[in-house]
Amino acid sequence: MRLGILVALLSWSSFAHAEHAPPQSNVPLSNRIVRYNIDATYDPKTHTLEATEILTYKNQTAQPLSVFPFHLYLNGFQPNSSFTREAHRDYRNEEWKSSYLGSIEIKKLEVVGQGDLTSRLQFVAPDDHNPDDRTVAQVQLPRAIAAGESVEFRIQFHDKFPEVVARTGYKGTFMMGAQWFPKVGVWWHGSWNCHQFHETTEFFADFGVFDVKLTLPQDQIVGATGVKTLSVNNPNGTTTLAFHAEDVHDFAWTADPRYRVFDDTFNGSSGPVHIRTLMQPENAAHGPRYNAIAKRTMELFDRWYGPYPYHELTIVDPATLRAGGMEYPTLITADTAWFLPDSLLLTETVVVHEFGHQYWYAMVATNEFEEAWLDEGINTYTEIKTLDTLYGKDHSLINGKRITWGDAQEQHYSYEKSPRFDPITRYAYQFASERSYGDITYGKTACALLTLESLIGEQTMQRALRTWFQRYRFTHPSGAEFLKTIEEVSGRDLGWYFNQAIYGTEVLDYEVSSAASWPANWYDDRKPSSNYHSEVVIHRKGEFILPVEVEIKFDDGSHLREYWDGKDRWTRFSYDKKARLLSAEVDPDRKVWLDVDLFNNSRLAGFSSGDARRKLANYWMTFWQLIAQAMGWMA
Amino acid sequence: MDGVKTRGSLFVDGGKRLMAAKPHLVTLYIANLIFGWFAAFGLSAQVGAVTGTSLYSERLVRGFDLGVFLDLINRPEVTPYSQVPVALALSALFVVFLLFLTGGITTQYLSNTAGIGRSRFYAACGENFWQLVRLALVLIVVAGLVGGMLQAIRAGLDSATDNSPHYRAGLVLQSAMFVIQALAVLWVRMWFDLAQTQLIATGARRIRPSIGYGFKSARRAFELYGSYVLLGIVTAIVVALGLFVWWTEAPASPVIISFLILQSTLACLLVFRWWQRAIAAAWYERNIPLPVAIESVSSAPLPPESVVPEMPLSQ
Repeated sequence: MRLGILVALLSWSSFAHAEHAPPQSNVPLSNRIVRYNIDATYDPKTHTLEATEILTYKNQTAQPLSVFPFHLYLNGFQPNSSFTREAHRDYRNEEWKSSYLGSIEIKKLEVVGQGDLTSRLQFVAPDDHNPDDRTVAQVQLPRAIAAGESVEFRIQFHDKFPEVVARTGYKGTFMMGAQWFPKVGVWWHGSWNCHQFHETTEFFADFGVFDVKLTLPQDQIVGATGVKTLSVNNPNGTTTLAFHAEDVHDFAWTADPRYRVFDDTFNGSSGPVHIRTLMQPENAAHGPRYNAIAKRTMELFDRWYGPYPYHELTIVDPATLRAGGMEYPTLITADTAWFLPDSLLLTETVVVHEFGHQYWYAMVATNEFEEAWLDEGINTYTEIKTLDTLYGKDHSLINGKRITWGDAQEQHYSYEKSPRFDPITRYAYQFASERSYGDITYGKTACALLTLESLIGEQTMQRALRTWFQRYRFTHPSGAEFLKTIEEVSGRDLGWYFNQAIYGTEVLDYEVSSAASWPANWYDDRKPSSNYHSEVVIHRKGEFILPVEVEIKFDDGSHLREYWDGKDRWTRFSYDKKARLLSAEVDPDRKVWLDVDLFNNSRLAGFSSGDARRKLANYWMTFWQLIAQAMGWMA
Repeated sequence: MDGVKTRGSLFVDGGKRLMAAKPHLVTLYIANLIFGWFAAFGLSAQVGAVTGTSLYSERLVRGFDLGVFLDLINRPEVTPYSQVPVALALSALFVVFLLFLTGGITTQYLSNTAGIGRSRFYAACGENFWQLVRLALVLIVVAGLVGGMLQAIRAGLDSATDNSPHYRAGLVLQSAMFVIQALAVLWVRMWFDLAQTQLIATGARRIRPSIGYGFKSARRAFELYGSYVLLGIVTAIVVALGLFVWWTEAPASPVIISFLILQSTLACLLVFRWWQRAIAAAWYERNIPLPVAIESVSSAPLPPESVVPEMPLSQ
């Protein structure tokens, strides 16, 4: 197909410039259910797009299909859509602006061999029955498509992009074209899976081949999913660019005349990957920073989980944070600011996170509407592993001289804020709130996987993820298959853990409720004793049961580790030694990240340290002295 | 408004007056410290109850682990927000105390470097207190209006440049507006410093003439404004330097060095602010049309219980 496009386009115009497009693979990596051929013209003045789409869908199910649903995500940017209603529910202060209005209109839908079916299109709202939501439309074909047969949809559509509210749209001269074309749903587990566009949900689509032609003004610098195969300067001042992508399930593009381009190459185990970073000019100094972290991340993922099979990775530095930190096949958007110092690793964190999605979202491609944790959660876990490896466990977010912050710590903080509302496995759009969705899907899943790692070992965990990736990439697996893979690789029955950590809302909280020593002959004042009796009581405050280690330290420098299965509510450890108890600590190696309260995990016996109190009081006092002086300035 | 006295630079003149009022400034600083200590007391107790026996809190002592700090303030028993009203009330008390001392310190300033005695000092504190409170309320309104107006312009510019293809336009305009805002508010401050000085110098009961005097004077007090701006810049540099030294040099533990650096920075802030006021007093003295007025204020001994007589200025 790629060769066919090249031949056609070379004969099309003498201005045409064919670009090198290496073959991605000799055999398809995915089942390639869909093939999209889109020819689109974008007008940056009106932020509108006219396009024709030819969608070839191969029915690989075992039954005939007569109904086809389509995602029309841009219609989510309307005041009464489910997306906007949910966003307003969670962010009441967010104002609605007319520029936030976005839409996608199917002007014509024709099915080859079955005629014009535009009038048969009807909007449906399977998730919440919102009659004003127009993010899913379905068409009933007069004649069903038999198993193994293909159907070709010819669609004319018109997009009006919003000023970026979330992920897609324009900001100034910047344009992010995401979720911009009618995209067919996924036949999954025996039925169509085509959810509405929600505040918290991301995407789920079938793998296939994309050939997309974009026509836009010549001053635009463009990045897109896949490989650029052609660039043609048209006499009317526009350029037509063609992109080809195989074994992907979405296509996104970006354009901005202000982009500064930074090219680099990563030599992975499946060959060189061209990294093309498009920077906002004010952040241009961070272009090499993006590329450096992208290469280091790709190297680790290549080694840990398997090769990145594509030849291109585009990193976009968006003009607005609302379009930042998002993943599309072979294209990611990041976030940075020109003033961010090297010690604040936010730039790196976003690149690591979004690149990680290339493995979990883009290739394993789980259902993000129903099992968001399989993408966002696993990806947050691998983000922590990557950043910890590169920067150190306690410095992987902020690596400053006076202040530090580890990524795992950040996820733990996120989880501990709202641990009880929702289980990890809740459908993404059914969480109590956007906050709960984020805290649980990202934070709790990461903490649960880190804690699981402490049970089965780091190497086993890495092998399990590698197996998960290698075995299930391009297949839309489910959560049950993920958990089964971990049990299989570790050789352990982990149902007891998954029931609590993944399916449940039980909270894990262990505390050292008492730690004390007293002389063995406490009753006899006349004879001071050199023997002491020491006792430590460990209390399981939460419902979550997990075996834990306890470290006991004595003032003669000796220490020992105890093990407790955690099944009872509490346990007591007693010692008779010629030394006093110094401290007791549950989980001394800090491996149990699901523990919601890490302060009560330890206790000093017999004395209290005021160092932390003094330090924080000093800061708090200084702050209020400053406030008082500032108020005095107005007097 | 020809100056009646032409001594050296305003800076030096103001500096000498500042030095003469040193004990009162020390009092102010100690008050700032004590109110700050009380403001920190509640949170300190809450934090101590959690961190005192926990090994986890060592990560706050050796370095500063932001994650541990966030874990700490996420606990229900540690509630920094609940401490804010008390801390704000204590800050307000400090402002009241500062307003109280302003009358005495300014009288000290107006007497140049001569000491005015404790009774005279406290008499001036008491006599001018309520007028200064009223003046401060007017200042808040005026500064709020000016600041708000400029903020609205800034927001408008922000909105206008939001979609600008010139990526530096927004940043440049925002920076320029910030500087303009700072200069405008500083000018308002100088206006009211002059008003306060005149009010205290004349012992006036009504504040409106002093506000008028301050406004008229501030419009042509270029040298004074230059001094204010310069001291403002020096203050910013000193604060930045203090924070830099604290950031780079203060050990994570023990807390004493960190405390000393931060307190030195706060003390500098106080000193530079009162240096501005001292310069305003010097400027006022140089530009006062009736020498008799300043003489009567600065040198005539008054019984402690007396009220400074109102002495309207002819301008």
